[in-house]
Order: sequence, then structure tokens, then C-alpha cells
Amino acid sequence: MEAKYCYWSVATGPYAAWMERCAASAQAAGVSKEFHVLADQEIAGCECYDAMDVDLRDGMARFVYLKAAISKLHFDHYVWVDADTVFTRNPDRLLGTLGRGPIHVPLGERVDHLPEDASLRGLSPVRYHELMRKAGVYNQIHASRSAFWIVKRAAVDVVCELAKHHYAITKTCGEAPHGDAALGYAMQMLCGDPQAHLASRRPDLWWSDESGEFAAPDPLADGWDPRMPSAPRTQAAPPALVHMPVRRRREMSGSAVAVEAVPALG
Amino acid sequence: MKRKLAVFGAPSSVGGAATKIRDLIRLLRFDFDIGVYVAGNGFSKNQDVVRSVEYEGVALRHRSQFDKHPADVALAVCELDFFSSGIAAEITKGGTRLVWSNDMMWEFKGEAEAVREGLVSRVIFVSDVQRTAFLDMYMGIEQRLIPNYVAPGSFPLVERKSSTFAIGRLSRPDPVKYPKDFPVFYESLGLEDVCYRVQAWSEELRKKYAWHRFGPEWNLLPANKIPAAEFLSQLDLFVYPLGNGFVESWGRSTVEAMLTGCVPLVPRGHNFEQMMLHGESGFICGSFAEFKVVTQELFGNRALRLQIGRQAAHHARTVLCNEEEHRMMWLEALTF
Repeated sequence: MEAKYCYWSVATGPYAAWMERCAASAQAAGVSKEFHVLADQEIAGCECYDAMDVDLRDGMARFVYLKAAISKLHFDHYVWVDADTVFTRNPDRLLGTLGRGPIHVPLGERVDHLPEDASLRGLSPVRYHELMRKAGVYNQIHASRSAFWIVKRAAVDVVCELAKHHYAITKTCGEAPHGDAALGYAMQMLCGDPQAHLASRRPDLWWSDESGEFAAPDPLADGWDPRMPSAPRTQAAPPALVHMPVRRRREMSGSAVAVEAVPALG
Repeated sequence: MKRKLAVFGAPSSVGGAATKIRDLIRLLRFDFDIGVYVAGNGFSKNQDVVRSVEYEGVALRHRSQFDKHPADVALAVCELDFFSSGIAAEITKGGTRLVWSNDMMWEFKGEAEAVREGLVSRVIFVSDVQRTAFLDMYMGIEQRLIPNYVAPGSFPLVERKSSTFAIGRLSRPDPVKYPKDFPVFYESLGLEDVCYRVQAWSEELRKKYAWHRFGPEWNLLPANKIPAAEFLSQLDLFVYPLGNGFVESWGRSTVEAMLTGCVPLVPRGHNFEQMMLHGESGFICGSFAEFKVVTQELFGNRALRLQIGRQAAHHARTVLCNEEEHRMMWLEALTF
């Protein structure tokens, strides 16, 4: 029997408009899956639930929402998308990214290959590496974000426990914990083979436009230029899901909402 | 006249400490008059225990009988209540020298106090990894490093002929010995038509991995379902990822696997560097990627697999479990 999944997210304040665009782009691309969103207002195209007054700053709230709310929905898998994501088409073999594992978070570069002065949510690559090792990661450690990830319903508890464990270790070591690292930790503890989860293994599926090239006024009309410096190079068509943090920041800084005042979700 | 040795701990063919005691009795039976002291009352009816002491000059007794049979030296192996029960103090008050072998990576209840009170004359460590863990506690106490001895005769070399390729592991069903991603780890090795065999599996482990769907390729056996030698001889590869943060003090099942001709693939660290030559008698893997490369190479190359298996068995027999070398180490450790 085919596994059932839904998309979910958290979108409060100015993110609500982005979430609406995300859901609209999905619908336009032929996506028929449901969108379940923790929000502070109604969002067209989404099933919305009261996000209540939860502190979103350290990125850990998503685990609370996942365990306390989203996991009560009867799906086999939950697919998180950041609100500032657009669908260019209906993704193919989405759950295939899980392989044999219960979670998929697209992994980026190996942390020990990053420049020394790189910052991973305020941590140097060396420190990030140390904390992951201390928490028990055995394999090479990869950087990761949390703009798109999938978790199997049966693994929600273990993912949340691992995230909390990493959070506690980071805090004990005198650093500021963040949900991105906690999620990356849970992923790298549960994935078996990290190589199978590299973002580059599925260039057709998801891409984060970190340099803002895919950021013309109408993202769906932008077209796709594989010559863009950070674009996946192996295909002529854009990935099914494009995360657009730069564009979102540009638009938000142009509005009344200061970028710094917006909780970082992606 | 032979010296009198009191051994505390129940020998049997099941479990790490019990098999160690069984093999030590066999190894030292010509050098000592051995009294084997057990804590419970049911042991004299346990045929496995009784068979383990069926040698001339070896007697099985209840702990309470120790004062009627004073010994020159007492050896206690991995007895959980050995210090907390007060028996350690009883033994030593009559002048018997106590040699203690904990075998684990954690201290037992009352162990630190007993060391401070001077009850332990000499401590045996099974590896440098274990010695390091107890560095502070045993400061100033005589120490010996004697790796475990597994009787090679109990684990004969078996040439693998099964048509289904099998990988697996043998260990206590302790969840800390299993990595968080254990079933995914095995399944991600990328092998086709493979059987995954695990002993021992338990309800606790089932709960730990409740998020995973174990298919028919998995053979999860409860503790002692199949004798260790038989179980290991049915594996082609002994693939042994360990729990995150767990440290193996020695690695008995790895050596047992090697004796049967099973190729061991183990994680870096622990005591495994002392057990095998990487690429000759086993493989020490620093990451999942290394486990995968080696597994796939061995899966596709039967001749290489058999060759490494034979070399592992030879190394285990001649180097790790050399009977005479172990006997000499123990004689020295039990002589004051």
C-alpha cells in the first residue's frame, strides 16, 4: 500500500503570505497533497491550526509542533517545507529520498571541508563538528538546514528525543543551540548512510537558492537557468521545490517588517 | 602440592563472564586445586554449570562454604554482588589474596570502597581501553593486562557453504550496544538477497526500533536461541556497529566469530585494533562508507571472503587465544 504523506509548516506573521504562495504554487504544479500549517491566521490552500504563543527563535518549536500536533494527523510521513518555498512541479519519488531510513534532511557539504570562518547558525565548523561528535555521530559530519525534511510518523518520538539531546549537549557546552543543528543531528544518527541523503543526490527534488538568482518578481515565471552559479548542474529543468530565502529576505526588508524581527524558520 | 585457587563466579557455556570462567577452569586445572564458588542454590542442578567443572581436582561449592576450604588465592570474575554482598571482605580476612577481574567498562557496587579498604590485591584488565577507564580507581594497586581467552576448540573453523549470504552479530541484547540506526545501517549496505541475523534480540530492542519495519530478510533471535558457535558459523560477515557512546571493553563475540572463520567488520576504536590486522584478519571501519565498501567487496568476492575468514581464524587461534601464553599469564597473575 502506498504510504500517505502531507506537507506541513509553521507560518506566522509575514510568513503567512509566503505560505499562501507556496500552497498556490503547489496547486498550480498539480500537487494534490494536503498542507497543514501552524499559523496565527487563516491561509488559503492550507489547513491551519493555532500556532499559539510559542517562541520560535531557536528553531526548536518545530519539534514541539511535530510531536504535539502534526503527528496526530493520520499520515505515514510528514514533509516539512519552509513557507518561502515554491513548487515548480509535482515532485517525483519524494519518499524515495528516505531510502531505508525514517528521516530525510538534505545534507550539504562535509563540515570539515567548509572554510574555517564559515558560520553554522553561529558556530564555527570546528565547533559544530566537535558538538556532533560529542553527541555521538560516528560518520563524517555534514552541514544541513531545515527548510525541507521528511519524517516517518513512527519515528517522530525518536527524532524529537535526539533533537532534545543535541540541544542539551550544545547548551551544556556553553553554545547557543539551534533547531537546524538538532535536526541535522537526529538525521545523521538515524540515516544509516549519509551519502544517500546528500542534497546533490536528488537535484531534481529540492534546492535552496542561497544566492537569490531564482528571484525574479514571479518565481513561477522566472524560468530556469542551469548556468546559475549555485544551481544543480545536472538537469535542464528546475528542482520540484525551490527554497527562496534570499528573495524572502529582500521582500521582507522592503516591507514594514524588519528582517531581524522575523523568527528564523529556515 | 598444588596451590588452592578459589574462583568466584558461575561457569557455563552461555554469556561472556560465564564462558570466561569455564575456559579458565579448563586452562588452569592442572596447576591449581580449584574450588568454584557460586552464589545461588540452583547451580548444582544446572547441568551446564556442572559440566563446566567436571575435572579432577575441581569442586563446585556454594559461596557460604568458602571458610571451610581456605584458598591461597581467590579470583573473582565479573560478579555483580561480589563486593556489596560482603563476600570479598570474608575471603580476605583469612589472608587469602584477592585477584579481581571486572571485565566491564563500569564499576560494580562497592568496588571502589573495597579497593580503598585494600581488599583487592591485584586487578586484571582485559584491555588498555578498560584499564584507562579505571585509571583513577586502581591507582597504586597491582595490575595485569590479560586479554580474554576463548577456547578455540569451542569455536571450530567452518567453511561457509550456504547459498544465502548472511551478515549479522552476536551480543547481549543490551540496547546501548546497538547504534540508533542499526536496522537502517544493515539495510543501507546495499546487498541483494541477503539475510540479516541477530542474536540476541529482545523486547527492549524491539521497542527501540519500533519505527522500523523488519522484513522477512531479518532473523531476530532471542538470547541463547542457538549456541554461539553454531550461530556464528552461519554468518559470512560479522558486522558489528556499536551504540553511540558505548565502549566495548574487549570484544568476545568478535573473537568467537573470527575463530569460526567469519570475517569481522568492526568500528574504529574500542579494543579492536588489538584484535585484528586491518585487511588481513578483519576490517576496522571508520565510517559507514567504509563498512559499505568492504561489505560490497566481500559480498562479490567469495574467494577473498574465505581467505580473510581463514586468516581471521588462524590469527585468533595462534595469537589471540594461544592457550599456553594465556596459561602463563594467568599463572603469573595468580602468584604472590
